Amino acid sequence: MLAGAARRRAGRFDPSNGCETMPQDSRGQRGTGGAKVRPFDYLIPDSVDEAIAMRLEHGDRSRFIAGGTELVVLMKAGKLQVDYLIELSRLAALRFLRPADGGLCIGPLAIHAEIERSPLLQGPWLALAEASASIREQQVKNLGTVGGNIAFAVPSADTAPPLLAFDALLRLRGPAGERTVPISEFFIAPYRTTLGPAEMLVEIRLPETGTHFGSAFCKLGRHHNLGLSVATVAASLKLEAGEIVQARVAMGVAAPTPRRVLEAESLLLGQKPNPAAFREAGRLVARAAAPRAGSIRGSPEYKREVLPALTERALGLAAMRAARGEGGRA
Amino acid sequence: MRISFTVNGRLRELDVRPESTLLEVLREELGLTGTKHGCDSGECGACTVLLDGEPVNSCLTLAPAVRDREVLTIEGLAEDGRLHPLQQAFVDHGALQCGFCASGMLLTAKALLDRNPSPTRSEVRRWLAGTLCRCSGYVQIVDAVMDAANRLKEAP
Repeated sequence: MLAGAARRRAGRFDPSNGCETMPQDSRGQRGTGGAKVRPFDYLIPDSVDEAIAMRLEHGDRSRFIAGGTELVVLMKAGKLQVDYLIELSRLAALRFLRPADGGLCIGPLAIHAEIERSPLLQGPWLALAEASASIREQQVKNLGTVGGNIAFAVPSADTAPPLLAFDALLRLRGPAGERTVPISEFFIAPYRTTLGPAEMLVEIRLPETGTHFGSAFCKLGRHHNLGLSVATVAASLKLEAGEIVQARVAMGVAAPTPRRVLEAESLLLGQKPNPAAFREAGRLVARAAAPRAGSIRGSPEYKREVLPALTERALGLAAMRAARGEGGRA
Repeated sequence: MRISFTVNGRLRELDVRPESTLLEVLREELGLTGTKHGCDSGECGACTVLLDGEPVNSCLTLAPAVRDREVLTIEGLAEDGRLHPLQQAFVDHGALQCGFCASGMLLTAKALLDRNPSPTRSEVRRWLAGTLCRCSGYVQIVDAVMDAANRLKEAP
């Protein structure tokens, strides 16, 4: 179930979430016929509950598949083998974008192309549209889903920082029923989330923002800030009488999981938006970063250099948008 | 498994292995080799087809996922033996050298013009960013798409 900004990560796929793997050299040879994927059964559930029951029955021998932009690549490279793929991409019950209680409900199967264009995401939640827009190219944005991006939990998942900046709530459904988890508690490690066996992400809920709320997503990519992310920052600010009353700053590809930087957020509280405060917040983000050495995306030193600039930019944009009063109800 | 889907306006019904991609089915089962097999990992865009009108990488799309949907490949772009205005513009502007990227470029450009008949050059470049040309013909390709947009608007 995958979307994403990071195809070449396949080489570092962590199999610990229950997938059988093969030795790296035994598969994925590119020949004229292309990489062949080991055969599997393709299961087509009619409902979310049926999909969950299928996953429960087949356990680690199965995976859910939505857009397939990560899973298909992994399977071709021989990094992932399954006996069953359970198709989610045609479950209409998981594909929606709708206002609810002043907030917004996003179905996990919403594709990035829809999120990028939706009028519902041009106001307070613009950072999410910006993140989806930045995810690779048109061909991938038409397949990849926001739910896949989150549930696959690559450290570079571009939609994660904005969702962290919105205090998104994730509704998970499993064999035992439903539970709701704040996104700040969802990511555990690269490719690991709090999703239990046979549990599925069924809804992403963005709470009401109030007025004078603005957000922004800033990314350093390798090609015109499109595709593979080197570092990302999402910020949201809520203003009252010109003062910051709520701040969120979240970074991606800068630590084992996407995460908020609470020190930077609390520093901003009570201040009027100003460049010095944003610069200091950027410094705190760089200090909180724990980038992995040996990444093809950029060295830890480089990431620490660019994170302050991304933070300042994201906060500056968020402040400008908040001041324009773009917040409010969906 | 047995699937049916529409390719270039014609309903096809065939048995596919679930693990085969749309790209393999098009090229190897249906003989539609205008869709090119490049990187096989969603990087190069040579395998781009339109799925329900939107460009996707056919190398990332599993065959079972296209059941009951509509696929347009490069073979379906010309109508009644007449080149589509985009194809004619590519010829006129010398936007083809080796031609390997052309299918993906043309189909992605078609999806763009269907959605936005008057794109800016930068919009064209952004849409075509997922399709790589190794002969360095991007300038002519963008010229051709801009010209085709004008021709399509002037067409009756």
